[in-house]
Amino acid sequence: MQVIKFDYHSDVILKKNSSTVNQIIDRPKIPIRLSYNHKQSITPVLCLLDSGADNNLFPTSMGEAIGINMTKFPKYGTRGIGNSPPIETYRVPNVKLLIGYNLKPDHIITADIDFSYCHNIPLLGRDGFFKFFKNISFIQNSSVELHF
Amino acid sequence: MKDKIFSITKKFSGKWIAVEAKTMKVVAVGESVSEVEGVLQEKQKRASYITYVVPPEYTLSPICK
Repeated sequence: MQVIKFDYHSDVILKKNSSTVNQIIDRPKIPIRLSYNHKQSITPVLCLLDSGADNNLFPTSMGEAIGINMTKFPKYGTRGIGNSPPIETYRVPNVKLLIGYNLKPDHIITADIDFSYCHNIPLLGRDGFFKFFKNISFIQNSSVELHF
Repeated sequence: MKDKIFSITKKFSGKWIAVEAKTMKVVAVGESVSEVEGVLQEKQKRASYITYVVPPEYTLSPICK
């Protein structure tokens, strides 16, 4: 079994109505480049591993950067927690996800991605990402390991 | 390093940035991934990664179908 390991990425949380640091949140974000129809992105984008997400959900600009025309793909609705209305997504099938910081990826998977104009933080979900691995280990506030 | 992260969060909150990992230097800024990639190409610079700077007052929660 092979393993790829990535350190957590640190984000800052401020105290309410103040510019004082409340806490640093280390999040399990991993570098992904997209490839579709022989076009691929050059710089990896940090994407959040979200075991609470059913599918991959990316901002449309990530797809548009490699020439994907969203209007050609079927529309769906996606919703999160609470009672907020669903956001519109475009499901693009068979997009290659190149995992790793280097131009030569550590690993490649091919999956469907839901793209949305209303969402900024790229999420890697269970059906679009987790299922391609034998095991994904979260080492609390430290690192994430992808076993395949 | 935490000071650098704090400074990046405050300065670029809600933006997309390209970062050189060793120095934590922000080499491009934009409103979208494609805009940041355009700036990198224009400046002929390379970055270790692109990331969205989560506004510091937000926390993240799971999303489902």
